[in-house]
Amino acid sequence: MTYMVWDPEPPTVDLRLLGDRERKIFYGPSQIRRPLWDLEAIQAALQRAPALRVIFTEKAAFEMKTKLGWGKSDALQFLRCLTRGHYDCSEWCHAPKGNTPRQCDVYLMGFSKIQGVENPRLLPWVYIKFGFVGPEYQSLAVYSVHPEEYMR
Amino acid sequence: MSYRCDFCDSSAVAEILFSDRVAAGRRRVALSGLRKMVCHDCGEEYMTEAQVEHNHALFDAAVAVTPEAVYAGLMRSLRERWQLTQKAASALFGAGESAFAKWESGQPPSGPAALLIQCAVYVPGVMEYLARVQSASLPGCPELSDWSADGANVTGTLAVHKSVRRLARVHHVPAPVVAPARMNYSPNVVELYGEAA
Repeated sequence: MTYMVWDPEPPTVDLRLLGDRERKIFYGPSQIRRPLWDLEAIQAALQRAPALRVIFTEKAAFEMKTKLGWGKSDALQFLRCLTRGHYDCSEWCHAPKGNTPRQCDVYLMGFSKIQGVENPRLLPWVYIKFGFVGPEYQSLAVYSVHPEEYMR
Repeated sequence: MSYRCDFCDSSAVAEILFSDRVAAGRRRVALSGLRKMVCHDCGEEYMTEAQVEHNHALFDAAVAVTPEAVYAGLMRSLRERWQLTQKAASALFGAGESAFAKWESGQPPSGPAALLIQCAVYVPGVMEYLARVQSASLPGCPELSDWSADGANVTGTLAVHKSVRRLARVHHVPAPVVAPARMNYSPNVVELYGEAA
């Protein structure tokens, strides 16, 4: 099962030398924003048993707790509630200790963890960045989960 | 137990125990016995779902016994539980209009304010008492109020309970019996704060 919608050319320079804007991934000659990973397939896989394997970077795991008060089940419920309309951008990033650039999608959504549903009025919205890793792109790696304004 | 690295599929990956000091407001809580995976081939470090759960439980336990350890996520959770905006929460705690916005964005509250927030999180009746003395209304706490379904608009975590039951049906497993959580107050708290508690 592949979750990849399209495969961008990897960057030719070290990611650490690139600014935020240069790390963004755009599609085609008209440079449009387009998700790299199939959100509907991810959500279907999260509902299946055995569920999709999800891993977190250390930074994401602690930030979602300290900045949002979330546990991993809140992050998974957040993923289940996302729609294409919440897509923000795609970008290259790497796990803190790794050197391989990973292609990620970024979504933003207001979300109530108490109700487990989208709540656009609950500010600040939540920023999530994830992508698939592994030889077969079989594991969903969550790189960031934090309030939107925290990044600005 | 043998593991495979989720990044490179190498078998040179192992679960390690480590210690860290994590910021919780103005305090840093020391955590030991944290778990993560480290791959000696690709160098990646990550946490599985079970490890995240374990590490968060250690963090919660440490924060609950550390005075003034009030972090942004705790304040956001408190607001969410009581359905308060940042402005309304600031007014309830007798702080400036944008206090919660500042506190949640990384400027931790002062010691006394942090202690009061900690009490509001861990001690039943504090939120109702604050609402009473501030002449404010509490929009509601899903954990305390009964759930209602107004036509098709189901509010509260009932929606989640419904999803759980639906998923259980889909996967042919017995549905867990989940009643909306209620916080049980001790009789003396009810006596002190009356019906609000």
